[in-house]
Amino acid sequence: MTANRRHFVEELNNLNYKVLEMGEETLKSYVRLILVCKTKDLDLAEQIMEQDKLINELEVSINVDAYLLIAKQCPVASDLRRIITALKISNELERIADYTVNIAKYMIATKNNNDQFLENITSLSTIFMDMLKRIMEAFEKEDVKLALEVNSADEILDKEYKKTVKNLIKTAKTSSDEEIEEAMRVLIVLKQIERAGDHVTNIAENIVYLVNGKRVELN
Amino acid sequence: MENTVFTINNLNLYYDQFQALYGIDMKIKRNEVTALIGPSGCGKSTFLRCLNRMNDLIEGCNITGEVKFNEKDVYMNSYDVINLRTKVGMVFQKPNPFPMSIYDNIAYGPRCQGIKDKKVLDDIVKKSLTKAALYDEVQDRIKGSAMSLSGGQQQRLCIARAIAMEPEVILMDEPTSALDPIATLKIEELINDLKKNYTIIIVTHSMQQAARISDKTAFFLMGVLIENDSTNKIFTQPKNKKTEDYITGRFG
Ligand SMILES: Nc1ncnc2c1ncn2[C@@H]1O[C@H](COP(=O)(O)OP(=O)(O)OP(=O)(O)O)[C@@H](O)[C@H]1O
Ligand SMILES: [Mg+2]
Repeated sequence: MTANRRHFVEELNNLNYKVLEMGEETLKSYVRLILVCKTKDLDLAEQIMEQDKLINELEVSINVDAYLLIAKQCPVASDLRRIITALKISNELERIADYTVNIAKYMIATKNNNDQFLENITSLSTIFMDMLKRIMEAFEKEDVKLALEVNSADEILDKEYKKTVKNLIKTAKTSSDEEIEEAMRVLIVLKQIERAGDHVTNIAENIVYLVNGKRVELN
Repeated sequence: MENTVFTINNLNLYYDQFQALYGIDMKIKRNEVTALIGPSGCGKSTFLRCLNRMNDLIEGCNITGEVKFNEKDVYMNSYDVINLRTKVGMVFQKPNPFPMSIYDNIAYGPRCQGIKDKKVLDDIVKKSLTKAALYDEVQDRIKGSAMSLSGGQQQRLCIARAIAMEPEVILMDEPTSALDPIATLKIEELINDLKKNYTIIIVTHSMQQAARISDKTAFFLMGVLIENDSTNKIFTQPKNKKTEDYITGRFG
């Protein structure tokens, strides 16, 4: 008798749909970030901030929907896990999107258009976008195997980040104090994308929980 | 005292030709609340009645297997059934106070056991009403008729009546299904308090009630015990697909 669940299932699907939409919008923020690097057009950086407002609104809306479903439907078992997972993943996505805002703010404030810097942002973002795309696919398909695969791809991002750090240190050795200070700031900025990767790990953990009901500690 | 109150081994029950329970194995721990859930007709009440041999009263009812209460099989010929029903009290779906005063309702059981001393009886009545969270509401009309109480109060009176017998176990068959939400909450609170001193086995059709008040949940389907586990487990990640389908309302 699935008839008595029709409305509930519809609302669960809507919730899932919103999470996927939030994933899409978050991905767009990173696309914009790469565009800023390619075009050096800071108006595009402003757009990242606008984009972030939309993402925040989506998160709030997912929260409201989830709380109402919990209050009104008293969900249990996989239904409950589905709602909790939507809440948690939307929270991770919100953080992931915040990092693009931090980077955009830095770019606008410093007008740093050093080619090496822009190239670093681009290559880290490219690796990260692939992770984000695939983790959201794993969520949509409830594919634990894919989620775990994406999680191990986090190593690639970490490696790329470490490589970039090494290079920055190398150049810093022969630089002036101001240049070293700048390099340190750049480091903090690049670190944002490395952190975004950690949030993908959290999403992977949530997908495992959704499907198997098991809490795992990846990483 | 042993930690396990009931051990049920391969229990089968027949109403004439009809088999209502199939090979039930179950352990029930002391001072825990166990909720029995499952669709109508799956055998919850039948199972509950096995625990204090209330099925004996039903013609054509046959039982095989073991129901051990404190290690002793209650279906042994020599078993003292009256004593069993004292130790394993029961509260029904519809409050069923006797048509007499509140006081006499509670004193009835102890009097049958031969207690005559008024002071002792007074004490039992007060203690039982207090434990059933009813004393404050009825203390100034304790000699008044039990029938004038509200449904929720009547149900707590029935619980007080069971408590007066100093049972170890209280069986409850849908004790709140005739009550409004407030009266229901009062009984649920009460169950939570009572489990310190008693073992409670409750049949309920409310998933939320089972989730709220029980430590263990047992899911029955067509006379079979499908899954019996901690309530936390059952309501977050049940092992059996049938349990999941039932508690999420996919069928039933
Ligand atoms: N006295 C009886 N004689 C014959 N069959 C009976 C008797 N009592 C119950 N049954 C049958 O045994 C099965 C289990 O009944 P039981 O009352 O235990 O179910 P239940 O799970 O308590 O259902 P409900 O949730 O509706 O109270 C049902 O098919 C019922 O028709
Ligand atoms: Mg019944």
